[in-house]
Amino acid sequence: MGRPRNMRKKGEAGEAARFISRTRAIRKLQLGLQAFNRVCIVKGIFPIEPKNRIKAQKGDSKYRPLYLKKDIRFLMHDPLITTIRHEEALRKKLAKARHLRDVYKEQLIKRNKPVYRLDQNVLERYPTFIDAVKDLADPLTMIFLFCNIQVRPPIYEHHVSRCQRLKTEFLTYVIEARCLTKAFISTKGYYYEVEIMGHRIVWTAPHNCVTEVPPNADMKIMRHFLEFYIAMLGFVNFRLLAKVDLRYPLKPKVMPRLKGPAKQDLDNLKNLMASLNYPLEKTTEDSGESKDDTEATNRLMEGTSEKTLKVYADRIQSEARRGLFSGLKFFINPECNRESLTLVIRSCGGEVSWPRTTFPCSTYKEDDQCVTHQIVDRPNFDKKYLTRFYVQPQWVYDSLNTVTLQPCQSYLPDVALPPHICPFLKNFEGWYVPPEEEDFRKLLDASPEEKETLLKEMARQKQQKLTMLKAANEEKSDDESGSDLDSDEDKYDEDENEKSDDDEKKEGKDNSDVDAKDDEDMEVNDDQEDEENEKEEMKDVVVRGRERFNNKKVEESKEERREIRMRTLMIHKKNKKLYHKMKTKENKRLRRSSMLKDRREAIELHKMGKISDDQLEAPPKTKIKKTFSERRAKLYRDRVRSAVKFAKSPANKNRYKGETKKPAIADTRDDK
Amino acid sequence: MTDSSLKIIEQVSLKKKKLNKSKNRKKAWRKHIDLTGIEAALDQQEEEERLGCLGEDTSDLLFLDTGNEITEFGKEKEAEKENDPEEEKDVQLAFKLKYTVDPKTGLKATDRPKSNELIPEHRLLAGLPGSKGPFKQSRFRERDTYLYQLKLKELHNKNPRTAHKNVVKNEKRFNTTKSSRKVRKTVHKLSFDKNLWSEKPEPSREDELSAAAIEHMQLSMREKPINNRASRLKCNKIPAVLLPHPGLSYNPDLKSHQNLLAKAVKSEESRSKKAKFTNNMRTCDFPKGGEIVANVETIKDMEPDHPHAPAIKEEPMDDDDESSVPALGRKNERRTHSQRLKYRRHQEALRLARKIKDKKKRENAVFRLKEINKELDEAEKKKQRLAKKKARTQKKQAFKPPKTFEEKKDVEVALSSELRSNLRSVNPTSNPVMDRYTHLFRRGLLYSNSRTRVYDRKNGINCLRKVVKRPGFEGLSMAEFEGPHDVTARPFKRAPKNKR
Repeated sequence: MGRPRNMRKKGEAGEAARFISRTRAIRKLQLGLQAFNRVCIVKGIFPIEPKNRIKAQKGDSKYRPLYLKKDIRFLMHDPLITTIRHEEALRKKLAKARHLRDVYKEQLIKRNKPVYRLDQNVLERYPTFIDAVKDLADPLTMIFLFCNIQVRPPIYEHHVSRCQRLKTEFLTYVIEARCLTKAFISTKGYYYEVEIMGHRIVWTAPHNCVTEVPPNADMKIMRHFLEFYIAMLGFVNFRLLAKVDLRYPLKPKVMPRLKGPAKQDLDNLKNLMASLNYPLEKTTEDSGESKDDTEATNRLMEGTSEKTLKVYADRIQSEARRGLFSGLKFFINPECNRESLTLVIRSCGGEVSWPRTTFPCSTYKEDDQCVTHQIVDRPNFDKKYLTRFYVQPQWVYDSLNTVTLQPCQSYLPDVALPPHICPFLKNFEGWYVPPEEEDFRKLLDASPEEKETLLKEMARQKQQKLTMLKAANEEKSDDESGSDLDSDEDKYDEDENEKSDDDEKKEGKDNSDVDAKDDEDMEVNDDQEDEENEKEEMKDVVVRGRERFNNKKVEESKEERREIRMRTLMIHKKNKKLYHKMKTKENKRLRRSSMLKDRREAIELHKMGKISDDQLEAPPKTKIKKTFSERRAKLYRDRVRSAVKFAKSPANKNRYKGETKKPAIADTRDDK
Repeated sequence: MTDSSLKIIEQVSLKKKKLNKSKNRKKAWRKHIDLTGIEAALDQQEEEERLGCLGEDTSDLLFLDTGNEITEFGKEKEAEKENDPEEEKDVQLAFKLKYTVDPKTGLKATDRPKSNELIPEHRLLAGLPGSKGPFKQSRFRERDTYLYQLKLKELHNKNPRTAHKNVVKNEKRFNTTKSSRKVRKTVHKLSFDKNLWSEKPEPSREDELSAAAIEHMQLSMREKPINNRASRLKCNKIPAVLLPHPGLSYNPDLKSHQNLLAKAVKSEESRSKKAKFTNNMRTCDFPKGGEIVANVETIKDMEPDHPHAPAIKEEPMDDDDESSVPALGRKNERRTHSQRLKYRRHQEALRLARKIKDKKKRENAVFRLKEINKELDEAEKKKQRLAKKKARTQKKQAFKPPKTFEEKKDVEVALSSELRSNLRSVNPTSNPVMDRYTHLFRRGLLYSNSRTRVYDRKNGINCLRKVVKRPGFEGLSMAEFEGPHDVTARPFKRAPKNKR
């Protein structure tokens, strides 16, 4: 009996026919692995996870990258493959010419190298402009990364210079459009967020030092990615700069007069654009008219639904952000990161300058008396001028994130900075939120009129804290100075007292959580005693009423629990696992948040001097789940104890009359 | 043509009309007519057909149309021109040619001398002498031979017009520098000044249909790649840039600040430990002290002082051997003269042997010391040489310009003073290039060719097999997708167990 006619062979239909392995695909396209990678990256074809791996691999359970067969068929007719093949052939010829030392032929071959453009590929992958804008996060991070990378063979100088050019173009757009919304300094680098055409894009930029190329990373593959992203960002930049009426490629509005060798050096011209502070040529001249959106906003306010209000609030906030630093003049000291600071300040409408020796295009000097803020990142700095604020760079980022000019007192040089809060946080339910973050959220949500009162309140709270701290420190110092001899003893006493107090409090808290029922019972008992003395007649009635009331509560809670238990029992087998998972996660979250709260309180108490260092580092009092071995040991111990109890019980007294020394079962563990 | 001949033709033409009527019994009509004139005329006609109009000037039939002189009514105008020459000038100005016309040929005049010879094909047609059929090149002609080419080269070199070309060619061959002539590139790879997503006007119905037909043809002919949707699919839901958690901030909040501090402290401690290990002297690194001392004792003061030789106190040599002889025997028993003599001689012999031994030792030691001195000198010289070499290389490196402008890294952790208040002095963590690479790997956009070794249960113990790394699942922890505080809020250290 053969197989029936309707049935097909094993690998001809279904999952097995849809997929193809990488080695087979390479063989089919007649390419090397590197060339295959290159084509796939440019065309945007990536391996896909099948529904059933064993079926897709025709019975093989090993892991192999699988591609869709349709994709590979699509690649077969691509003109890019032919150019790559041509390139490989030329490479062979070039090697031969070099071996024969035929310079003329070598030049000829180099001249004949095929040139291909990626614009069609960009169009194919992103058919509309918005599609390209949505996917900007990846190319931006890549290009900012390669701007100051070590130059090594797979990556050459022209890659770096192209990246730098694209970077300056994009940053000029951001400054002109004033669309920067968030900025954050982290140990990994700078995080920025930008709003373009209603889409929020986040990208990272490394710190200002040269990044080394790690030996583990395959830089050849990274170069292929970079090649495509350069082409994509170039076309996007052209479109974006046209929106802001800037000429493409960028050109300074007035060419500076340079003399001698400085005129021939092209870097001088590049630096003008890279400074982000030089006026550039525009396609159309400014008319100087500002668009009035008041009518539109008024219309929005008429229909006061929640959505419209939200949109209105967002609009007001974005307008406030654009004019946050307007009218302010900044001077950046050479130790700060010039580029990121100019980006933030200029995109919020401020003016920037720096010393002439650090970089070209400084607009005014340090002596200028109109300067309102000087940014300093050095602990011991001589403040010359009284007319300006000396501020650390974090002030700029924090005020952008909160859309308010933060008070400068906490950001003065040589002062411990307040925490730099991440603006990318989302509101998760049940998570612990530190007080600084709460303030940050309040400031973001508040309207500009409310902000002033909020800031005042915060300042007041801070002052209260400071006074408390001072008082605690003074007490400490008084004790130390008052009695040198007896100070140790006193300290010990105090510590002990404090410790005991704290312990009691904490124990009380813990007990209140765990044994809520017992407390209630105790209360009931205490009340009973008082009432007995006063009114004996009324006693029974009140007690009964209270008991009934309390019983009701207990019963209700019991019922609720029972219901929940019943509900959990009713859950289908399929979903039971998931439900338990969710439950455990919730519990975990609650436990952690409570732990973090306790920790925070402990740290603040430590600041006041009420807790010693050892206590701060001691473990929290939450219950730790015991391991299996511990549980087993405890079980064993309990059994032994019960056995001993049984042996010592009066019922068994007669049995061991003669052998009083050694009982039959002894607890050997406790003796040890 | 003469008048007589014309008359004859007229007669013939008239006669022909009559002949058409009847030719019966009229065979001998030629006997009475003179045909010489007609024959001559026919000959002439034949000649005209054969030679074209070469034989005569045909000014009446062909003329050059310069516009002003001759028109349709040429003769009438000619007559008028003679009468009034003023009009002629005006017409000439209006139809002036840009070039001068050669009167002989009636074509554009050139300085080059013109040959009257016909091209060979025409000559063949004309049947003139010297005409040849179309020439077929032979494979073994003289021009293709090597010797002939050499000859040609010599000739070219001598000729001032062609010699220049050869010189340039030779220069190009042996010169690596770029030529002054600009190479025109057909396609610029990096020119972004065009709107890729430009909004085109909507095509008409006819255009749409034709475009569809063309596309279908291109697809069927495999000229255009098939548009696929699978390429636009995103294979992973991980975002392009993972959002940072608050512990990453350069000036983080208290909790994460302390975590970071602990990390920094740990690294600092390990570094200090390493430094201790390298700085402290170890006994095993040096040769044992006893051996050197024993060697030196033998050498002592035999040689002039060397700067590197260790200084050792001098001890006087004790030559009094007699004192060392035990005197117990003498007190108890008095020896005889012969015995005493024997003893003395024996002692003398011993003394001599000792002296010789000492001498030998001294000589050996001197020799050894000289050798040591030599070795030390050589070592010193070697050191100096190496130092010189190092200095030279350093100088060279200093002169080399760096490829890119490199800024110095931030100051590394200085625990004592700065770190407690200001975290900005901590080095940035992790390599950003490596981070990006791993992130791409996780998202499944990138497949490394490297293979990991995995334990194989099937084939037994210590049997490993190669497997391609699986992305997307290895480096990821669930913490990255949960709340932002989850990563930082790790459980604190457990308390040590109380053992009783």
